[in-house]
Amino acid sequence: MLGFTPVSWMAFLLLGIATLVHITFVNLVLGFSVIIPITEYLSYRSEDAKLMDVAKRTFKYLILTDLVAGVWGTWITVALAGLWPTLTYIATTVLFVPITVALVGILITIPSIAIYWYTWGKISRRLHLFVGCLMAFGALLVPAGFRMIFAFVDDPVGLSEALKGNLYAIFGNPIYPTWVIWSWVGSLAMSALVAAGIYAWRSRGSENEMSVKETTYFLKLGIPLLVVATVLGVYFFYSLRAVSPYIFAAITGNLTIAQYNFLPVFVLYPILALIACGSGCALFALARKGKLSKSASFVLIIAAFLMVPVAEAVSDASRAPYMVITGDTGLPANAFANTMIPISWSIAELAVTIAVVVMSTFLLGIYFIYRVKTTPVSEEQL
Amino acid sequence: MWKALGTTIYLRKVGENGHPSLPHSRFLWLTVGILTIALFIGLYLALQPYPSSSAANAAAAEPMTILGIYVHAFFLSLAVGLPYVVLPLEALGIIRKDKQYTEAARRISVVWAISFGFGAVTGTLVEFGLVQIWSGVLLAIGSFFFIPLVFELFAFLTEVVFLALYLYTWERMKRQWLHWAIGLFLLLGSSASAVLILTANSWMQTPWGTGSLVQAILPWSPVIGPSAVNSTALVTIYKTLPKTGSLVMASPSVISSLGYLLYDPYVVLLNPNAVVTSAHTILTAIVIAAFETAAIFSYSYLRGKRAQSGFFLRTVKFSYGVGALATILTIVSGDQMARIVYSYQYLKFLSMEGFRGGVDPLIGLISNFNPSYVFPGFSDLAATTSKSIDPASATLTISKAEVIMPVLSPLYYAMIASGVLLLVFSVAYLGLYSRRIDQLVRVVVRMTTERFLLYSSFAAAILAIIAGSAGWAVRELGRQPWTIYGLVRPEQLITPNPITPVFSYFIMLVEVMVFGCGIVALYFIPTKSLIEIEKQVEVVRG
Repeated sequence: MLGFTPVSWMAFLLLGIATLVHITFVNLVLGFSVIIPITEYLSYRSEDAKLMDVAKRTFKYLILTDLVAGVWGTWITVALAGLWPTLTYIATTVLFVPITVALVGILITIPSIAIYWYTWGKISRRLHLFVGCLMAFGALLVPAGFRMIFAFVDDPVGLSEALKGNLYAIFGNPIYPTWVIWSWVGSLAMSALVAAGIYAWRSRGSENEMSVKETTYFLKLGIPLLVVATVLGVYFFYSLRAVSPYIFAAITGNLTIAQYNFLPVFVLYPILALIACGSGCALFALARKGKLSKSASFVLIIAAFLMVPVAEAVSDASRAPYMVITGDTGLPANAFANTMIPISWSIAELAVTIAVVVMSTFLLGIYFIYRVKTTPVSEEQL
Repeated sequence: MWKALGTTIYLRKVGENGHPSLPHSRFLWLTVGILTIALFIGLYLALQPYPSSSAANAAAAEPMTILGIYVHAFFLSLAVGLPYVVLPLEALGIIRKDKQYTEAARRISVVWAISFGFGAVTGTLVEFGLVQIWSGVLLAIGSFFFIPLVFELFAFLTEVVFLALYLYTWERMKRQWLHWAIGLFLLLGSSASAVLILTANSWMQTPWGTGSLVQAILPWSPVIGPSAVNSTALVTIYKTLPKTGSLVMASPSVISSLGYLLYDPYVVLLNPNAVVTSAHTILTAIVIAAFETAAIFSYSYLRGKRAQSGFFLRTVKFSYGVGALATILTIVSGDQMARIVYSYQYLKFLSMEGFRGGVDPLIGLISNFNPSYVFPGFSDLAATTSKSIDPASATLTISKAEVIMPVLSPLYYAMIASGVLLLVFSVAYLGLYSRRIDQLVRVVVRMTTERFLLYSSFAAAILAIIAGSAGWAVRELGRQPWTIYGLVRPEQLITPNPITPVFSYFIMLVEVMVFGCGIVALYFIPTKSLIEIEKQVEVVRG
């Protein structure tokens, strides 16, 4: 494989696969963690009990997605420790502050999700909303911290200052603010659209007032946010032209600079955004007439769900074979991967194959659980 | 502002949808009070000076690391041990077509799942601690942990997949054995995960595959496995660890320029310490989980829910039996563990025995089958330090062993005493099947064996936790002043960034809060889920 040793190839793919799955589900966790308290607040303000039901039902998706995201987050930390010791050492030392910010976010979010659920309807509204705000705040902190790692490997601003002890110099990274805001808006848009699609899909042709209300509510939220997220995404990738010319070359198919062509994957992102926007608008128009379309909701779910991994794959994999980009070249992944032990190509390929099989089994298992959980229990079964 | 705060935390008697309010509003006020005090302590600590050296930095990080590992271990001991209670119960239910055993297995599996969830959360905390606070660990040990960690990724995923499947397919599968088989994969996944993490930990106790490297520093140490390392690269990294970080950051390829560090990455799996530690620790987890289960069901029985008394009693007897069997096996594996310590960490052996060398008939008989065996003492070992390539480190190791002896020895004997008492309880358990033992129990404690099991289960649960906690403390404290025995010390691994008192305090506060949430969840969620199951049954049956 061009520019890779067996260990760095295996490490790159194992970390990449885990990151894709993790970030996809983490976006849903982030989005739902913000949308649910807002929905609860709106239901109190408008005294709309049905909106409260929407919030409660959506919370179950938050728990399921948090489970998946948590599992793959653990995978990432273990993969980093075992496969990328040098990279992790540098990241945890230089990026100590943003990683701590993300850690604080995780530590706030996990217990607040549990407290939010188990105190729903059992404590005062204000106090419950306060817990919800904590949950949303914690969730927003996570990308605010972790996006700095991604920004740093795209453009290692502040490294020399960090080595001298100034750990805040890294915050001068020009792509960091756009990336964080794009992550926030994108996750909200994705979560709202996926939720709208799922509620429309689950009505399965037997539309009722509730399913139409749920779908309309999430589409009203999701479509404008999607437009903003797409603009931010395109702006972000365009800003890489000056900051990370190598990545910009890879995503625009300029093989005089880049070693791999990611243009086809990059083009997929605005196409998916257009499809999501189109199907969302179609569904919204139908919902206003009290109808829902199964096919439009299916297309919406798939398009909205795939947007994040596609955008993530473009921004992450386009660094290959480098791990840290420095202008129109970079520091190769081999320098950061665990090159201190002999691993053959056959072992590396076996490990990646097993990872793909296990990941597929895991996702199928989650789908199966989703199906079992949403299928009513029959008397015979009990 | 205070009025607003008071309004915010005011609890309504009845919630919005008619649910009763939280049972104890005073409890919430108490929590707010504690958090306020915690905030003031945090502000006070914020004024404290930063650690000025790597040794001070390591000392500042140690309390939160220790607390984090213990909190993690509490939940994990249940997550690893409970499958060994749940699956035999479920199998018994299927074989005998006895719904009480199946119901017991189902109830305990909820606790198992919560323990796993909190184990994962606290595991994330511990992992962050490892990669962020003790960042040098990855450079120093990354290659040796490579194979255990890669395998652990798959074991962990297997565990998660099958745990989710196991929980959501209860009574939804026509073939009950298929559900049981899912549980078996789950058990294998969780045990494999534990074995692999313990293998990594065991390497820090006995760095297997480093050959005579440790012996060169600590002359009394034996050769530790085959020589599978590039000694030059290893010594270069370890000797320059505090500077290696800066070098790596300035030029990441500096590590790869050293060449292979470990020629045989699988050698770590062959560590005898890992084999014995894995067996002993998993058995200890089973002892803790089984006796805690017995204690909880004993409490339910003694609290007087007569309608379900038969169900509770049968579960107590079964889980007590699992705990008794595991206790006996734990004692056997513990003996093997002590022999490993004697062979590879002789100074730890002296410290934990509270023994300064010479002749001790009992220790001599147990360790060497020779009551008059003469054990080398601290002074004998001190005489060998001149042979070391690093005499200062060798001398420090001896003096540290003497210093920690007053702490280590009581901890070790607390573990032994707890184990002996658990063994007595385990023998008493046989009174259910042997008339003679039953009579003996009646004479000694003036109650039937059955009654004795009910009461002693509480003591057994506490003793199991004491034995496990003290045993782990002996293991970890005993390798002082080393992190990797004979090779690397904590101050070489700590991050160069200062661990401020506030940071340390904040993390410890979070650890305590997560532990508290876990305990509450372990009580409330199983109760709530059972109520929901009963409601669902009632609704369907009309």
